[in-house]
Parts: sequence; C-alpha cells; structure tokens
Amino acid sequence: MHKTLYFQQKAMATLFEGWLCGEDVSHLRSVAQLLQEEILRIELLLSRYDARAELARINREGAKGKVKVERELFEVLADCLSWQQKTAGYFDIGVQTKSPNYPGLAKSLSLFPESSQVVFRLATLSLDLGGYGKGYALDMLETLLTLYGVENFLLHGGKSSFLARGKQGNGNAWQVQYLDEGEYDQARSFVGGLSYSGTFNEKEKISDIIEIDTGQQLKQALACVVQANTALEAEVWSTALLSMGPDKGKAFAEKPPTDFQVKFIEQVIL
Amino acid sequence: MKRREFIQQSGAYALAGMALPIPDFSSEKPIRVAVVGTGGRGTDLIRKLSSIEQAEIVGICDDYPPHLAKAQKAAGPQAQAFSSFSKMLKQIQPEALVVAVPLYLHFDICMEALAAGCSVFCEKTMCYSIEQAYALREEVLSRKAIFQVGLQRRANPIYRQAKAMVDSGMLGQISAIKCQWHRNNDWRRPVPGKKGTPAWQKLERKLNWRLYLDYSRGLMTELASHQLDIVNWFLNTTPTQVMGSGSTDFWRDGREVLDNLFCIYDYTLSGIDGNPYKLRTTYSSIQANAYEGASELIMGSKGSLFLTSNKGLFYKEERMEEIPWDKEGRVERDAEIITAGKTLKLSNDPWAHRSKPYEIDSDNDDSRHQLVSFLECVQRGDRKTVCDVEEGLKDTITVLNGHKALHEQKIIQFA
Repeated sequence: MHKTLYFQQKAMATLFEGWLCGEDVSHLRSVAQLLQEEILRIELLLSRYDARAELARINREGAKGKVKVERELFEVLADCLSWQQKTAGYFDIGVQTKSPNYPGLAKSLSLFPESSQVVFRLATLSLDLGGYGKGYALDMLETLLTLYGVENFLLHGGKSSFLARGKQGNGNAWQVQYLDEGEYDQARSFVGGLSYSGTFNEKEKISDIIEIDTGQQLKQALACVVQANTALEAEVWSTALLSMGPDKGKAFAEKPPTDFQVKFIEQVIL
Repeated sequence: MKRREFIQQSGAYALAGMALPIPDFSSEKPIRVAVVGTGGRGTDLIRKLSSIEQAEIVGICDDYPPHLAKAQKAAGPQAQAFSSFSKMLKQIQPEALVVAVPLYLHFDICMEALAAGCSVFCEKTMCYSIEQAYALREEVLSRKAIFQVGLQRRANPIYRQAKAMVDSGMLGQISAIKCQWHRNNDWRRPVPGKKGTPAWQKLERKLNWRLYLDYSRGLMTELASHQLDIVNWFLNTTPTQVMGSGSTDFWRDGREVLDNLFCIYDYTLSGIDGNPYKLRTTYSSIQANAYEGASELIMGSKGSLFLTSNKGLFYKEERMEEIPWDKEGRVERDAEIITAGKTLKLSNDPWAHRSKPYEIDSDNDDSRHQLVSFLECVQRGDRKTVCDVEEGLKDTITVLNGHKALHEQKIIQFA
C-alpha cells in the first residue's frame, strides 16, 4: 500500500488537482510543489487573459511585425499548426478571431524557426489555447513526475482534462465517471489521457465552441469524451470533434483512429 | 552604428561645433549573452532571454547536467553548453553575463566576469557578505562596468507607479510599512536517486542550497531582499537599525535556516512639518501559512498602497480635514446637508474602514522586462541600470543586517 499525497493549484481559470502515490511523503510533497510552480509557469506562457503572459504579448504585438517568442511557445504554436492539419482543420487556435472570413490558422500565422519569430498575417488574429493548454500542462507535469520517479498518479485540470498512470495507493485502478443524459455513467478504469469537452458547462447557458464549417457557435448541448495516450491528444481531439458539429463528429467517432476512444454524450443543462 | 559609438562620436562632433549626425540603430546586432547557473531561476531567465530581440544566448553553464540539459532546450541549439564557467568565459567571450548561481558563488563569478570585460546581471541578493558587496561595488565602479541586480520589481510598472504616488505625496506622510512573504510549503526541491546514500545527501545539499547557511542566508536573502529593496527605494534612504526574532518551528527537517522570521527596521525620515521622524517597517516571512502571500503595505496619513507583482491597490483614508474660512468669514466650501430622520447604519464589516480601491495593473512580466532594460543599457553603454550596484549594495546591507539581528538576537545599528 502506497501513501497518497493530494495537492491543488488554481490556474488557467480553473482548479488543478493531483494525487501522487509513493512511499516517501516528503519526496512527494517536494515533487508536488514543483508541479504547482510548473502549472503557474505554463499559465504565464499560454494565457491569453493574463496581460503578462507570453501568448497575450503575441496577441498584442503579432500584427505589428515579427515577434520573437520563447522557444517553448514557438514549439507549441508549431504543434498547433500540425494539429490543424491532422484534424483536417477542425482544431484551430485562431477560431475565436473576430473576422467574418477567417481563413484558418495556417493562412493567418507565419512561423520563422531560425529566429523563433512569429507574425500575424491577419491583423485581427487572436490566439486562444483553450482547447490545448490544460492537456499540455498535464503532459508537462508527467515529464517532471517521471524525472522524480513518481509512477502512480492522477492529475486533472478543471475536471475536464485528466491524466493517470499506474494505480491508486491501495492498488486499485484509477477510475472516472461522467454525466451522461443526466445520470452518472458507471465508473470506468482508465490510464492515460482523458478529455471531456462540452458545448455547455454546468453554469453557462451559451456555448463557447465554434463549429468550424459554419463559423457559428454550437447550439446543441453535446459533450465529447476522448481517451488517448496523452492528455494533450485527448484534449485536442475532443475539441476538434465538437468543432466538426454533431453529425460529422459522430460519424468520425464511429470509426476513430486506433490509438484513441471516443464517446458522444447528450448534455443535460440543469 | 552602435549606440556606444554614437555617444562617443557625438561628443567629438559637439566639440568641433558640427551638427550631430542622425543616429540609426536599426542595424544593431543583438547582445551576445551567456547565463551561468541554470537551475530553476536561471532557466526561467533563459526562457525570457530567448524572447528578447536584443539578446542572443551564446553560452550556458551549470555543473549539474540535468539542469544544463533543461536549459539547453530553452536556450536553443546556438547556445554552447559548459560545465566550467572559466572555460565558457574564455571560449565564448560573451558581452553580457547573467548570474543565477547560488548566493555564495555570486561574488567570485561576478568578479571573474567583470575582469573579462562583461556587463553583468546578477540575481539578488547581490552578495553573501557585506564585505563582498563593498568589494564588488568597487570593482564595478573602477571598471565603469554596466551592472544590474535582479530586483525585478524596480522594472515593474505597478511599483514604478506606486513610487510616483508616494513621491507626489498622495499617501501623505508615510506612517508605517508592512512587508511579508508568506507561503505554505517546505521550500524543498525534490532530489532524484536513492534517499539516504552519501551521493544522495551530497546532491541534496547542492539542490537545496537555500536551506544551508554555508550557501545561503535563507528567507532574508532569497525573499526579503526584494521587498526591503522596495522600502529603501520608496523612502529614498536606508534603515538606521534592525531587530528580529525567528526560529525553525514547523519544517524541522534538518535545515539550518529559519522557517519563520519577523524583523522591525527603523528609518529616519523628514516629516511633512519638516522635522525628522521615525518610521518602522515590519518584515515577516513564514512558511506554514500563505495568507496574503507576498505583499507590501505602504501606509500613509492620506492613503495606503497594497502592492503585489500582479496588482496594486490604493485605498484613500477616510477624510477629516479642517475647512478653511474665507475673507468674509464664510466657510470656503459648502457643508453637507444631512436630512433629519435618516439612520446611519454602522457596519460591522472588518474591512468597512477601507474605501473602494483604485487599481493599478501591469501588462508586462517584470522578470522579462528587467532583462530588456539591462540589455538596452548594454546597447547604449549606460551604467545607470534600473537597479545598479549602489542599490544592490544597500539592499545587501539591509538584508544581511537583518539576518545578523535574527541570529545574534540583538539590535543591529547601520553604519
């Protein structure tokens, strides 16, 4: 039986929580403190709301000319362009741009790897890593956990992005339940990344998910749960599948790629 | 043309009575910067440098390979990695050096870098001892070097705005200052490997250097230096004496530094009546409670400033002032009319005395901004950095006298 240390950190307008299992609580505590700092560091990199953040700086400066950016954020942006391709355009971090004829991220953002610079080709481009940031953060936390020998853990950000490896302290598998048509589904064991993206959250009455093909906010109360190897993959795909709209998304979900699982859920707005 | 050349040549033109050429700095090359010490803070500074146009990171140095590997990723492939600082200096010959090694190494590294002709950015606290701080000051001045201490609040717009408000008299006469840095964690870095072995113990002391007096002065040098520098800066002076009390009461894990401490610094200032008066600044740092985190509260007769790195709040004091009479014997301003019969409800809210605050915000990351400022000084050959060696010396003396008061349990007078 391992000991379990719990920690939490408010960041990215949500609450991150973690359960770390191991023999040495003082070691787990030091690791957890490092994870808390890492979450805050990533927030200061990826937030578009915190004016001090690197992404917020790019949103302010990107249309004025080439902007040199931190290498890590440069790689994140390059990764987002790659994901836009892999999801046939349905994952797009520029989709919140207020422009009637938004041409897509690939045509709106240019990257210059030799100088770590970016420039906005569309003056009104606004980058939002909302469907990427929590998953990215969880995967970065896993890198630290691996470095410090913590193999059994469960992490989540906002109870919508999860990452679990190994087992609980009592030897049982990590489990998750989600709300399906107003009732909680059976508890399921899981390992790896899991993301629950919904058009409506528990409190809001309007959707913040844009259907890519129409450019309109999705009106149907729908959620998509994806399980994948990493938290980032799960989050990106759950966002992309919702952005396909209900018909395309559900059709895709019937024959997903082999390395992840998908489930669509009709949300109940309470 | 480089800015330094422009300043030199301008002088020559002026002497000759000729019109000054119009400067064009657009072709200026970035400053070749190296970073020594690539632990948590050092790698953070590397990340910031990697986003600054004026910087080209040409070298990184650390004697702990995992830290160096992480830093390499952040710095980019153009940065050469070294485990020996002297070798890096000789081979790379950087124009500027960022020093982020443990405190006890600051002096030696800075001296070697200055001897090599580098402009130097040194993380706070400037030095491990007051003697070293004086010696470093002399070296910087004699070499006319560009030197900046990493007290980043000096580059933070919130603090600069607050300083302007204090200087303008918006707070009235400063009555007292309360600084704190409260956290709820053990301040330890995790140590990889099998716990308890001699190799692990050696690594533990290396990675957790902040907890051992051979390498650090604990909370005073690692945290208090930021905030006591703010006090010195805002008051335009340094303390006259300090007393303190502290001990290790919660994290009893073999550390040598205190885990909670309280200091009172006395300052002598000139009051609004022109006479000298005493102001007390309290400083507390605790590690078993995080209420109100890191903050400074500047309390004046007309208002208070509550400051953090992310936000500033200005609270006006409730007004009571004499209303003057005019020449005809009338009150110069109309009195307020209170309607008879209205009941004034007394609030039992503990914060009722606070008015709605004016908010001060910032849109920049002060860790990045201080580096931009430093590099701009290097580009134009300007030794007046946002926190130069004189300010670094004052801060070091302030902090280390506090440390002495805590450990010797006596009032320490400032020279």
